[in-house]
Amino acid sequence: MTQRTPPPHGRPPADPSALGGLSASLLDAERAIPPAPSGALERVLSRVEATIAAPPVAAAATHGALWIKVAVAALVVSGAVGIFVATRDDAAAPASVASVAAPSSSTAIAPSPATPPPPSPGVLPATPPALPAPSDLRPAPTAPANPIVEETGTVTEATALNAAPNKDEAIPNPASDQEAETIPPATAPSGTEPTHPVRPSADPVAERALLDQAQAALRAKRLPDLFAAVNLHAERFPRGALTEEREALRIRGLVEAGDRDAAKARADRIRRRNPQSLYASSLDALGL
Amino acid sequence: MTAAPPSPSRPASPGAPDALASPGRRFDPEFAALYRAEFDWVFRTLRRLGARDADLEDLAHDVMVVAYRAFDAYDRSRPIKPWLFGIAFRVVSDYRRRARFSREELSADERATTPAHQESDLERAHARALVLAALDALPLDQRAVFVAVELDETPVPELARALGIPLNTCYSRLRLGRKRFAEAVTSLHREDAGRTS
Repeated sequence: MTQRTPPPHGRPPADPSALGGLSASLLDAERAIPPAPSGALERVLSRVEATIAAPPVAAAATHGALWIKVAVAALVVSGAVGIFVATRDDAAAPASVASVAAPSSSTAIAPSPATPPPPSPGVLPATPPALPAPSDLRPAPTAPANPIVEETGTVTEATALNAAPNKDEAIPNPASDQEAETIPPATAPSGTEPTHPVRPSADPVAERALLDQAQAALRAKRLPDLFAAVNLHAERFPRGALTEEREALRIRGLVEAGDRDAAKARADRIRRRNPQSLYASSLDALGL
Repeated sequence: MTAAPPSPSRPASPGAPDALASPGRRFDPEFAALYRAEFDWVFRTLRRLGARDADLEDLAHDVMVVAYRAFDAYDRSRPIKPWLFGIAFRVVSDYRRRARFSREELSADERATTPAHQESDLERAHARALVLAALDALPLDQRAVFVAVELDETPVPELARALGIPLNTCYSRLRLGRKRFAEAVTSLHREDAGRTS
């Protein structure tokens, strides 16, 4: 057994008192793990290259956006809501239908088509089959005054704020809907700007600073400040590089405020938009 | 990582300089260097997070593809490993969910049959098998924090940031993870001793 020959303890533990001798010596053995099997690096490298060499997602996004425009226009003109529902494959159809029927705007192009665009050839073979990422036809951002258009937008967040201790400081959330619609998937189409699958930020420092403020507000349980910061971020950087982080912060704020339903809806949206989202795991951890 | 500026045009610029000196390869030099430098670490991180040996290459592929696609958004002022760890964690979460993964499906016995790659020290190999078996006693969120902090020496604040969780949550997971790990090690050690006596 291993404890007979404890390897030298080669690193300062983060908390020296945390793990006892047996655990520590086992972990030392694990740290000395040999490299990956011979050839693995090259084998995986060729596969990664094959995956990323696939046509850029932007092409699919363009087609997807076109599809959406056609679909939305057809709906607006004909009112053929039933047809639209039939094309959807998620259970949120009624809300979405309501939102499409709402007089938001013909530019209200959701980032996702009624029928998903052809999957990117770059879809990871070993990752979950794309959730119908693009199956979520929601209204566009430009209808902040219409609470119907976004089932988890302004209304629910306002509810959350009202539930918070500082409800008198509740911040109007004009950008809530917009924000929700502009979580750009890393690899999936973004409805209105399909040519930007990866989102450079115009002002990364300002983006970071706003979300740091939001983070600090969350830590201090100053929920109105949190929502103010994320809303401001949504207004200034609707397609910024940190939109998912912003949404994750908002979700945590909603959880803090006790509105788990809204938080869950937004968490689901993140997963739909970007199954690979780095934040999905933290949402899992919140039980969302 | 060096603090090279992001190159937004990278994914669409197959003609970019090719650090791997092989025709048709599309990594830019910075990502190619990252790949070479971190591949082994990604591989063992996936294993430590509970991936089956047979799935490690698939998952390493996924991590690297996600990393490649997100590379422009990576903040060069931050260390690379926590960032990659966040990706690996997410990939493993999906993997476990997808496979309806359960602890029983990946038993220590199954792992023990896996050849220890280039392993000559059987005792260490056994110790490592024990570590993985003990890690199986931890829920994935605690496991991830435990692995990153205890094995990779990732600073907790950096890890919390990379995982998108509050700092206190990260500390809490670390504390619980340490406790469960120590309990599991003790229990496995007793079983071991029982078998050999």
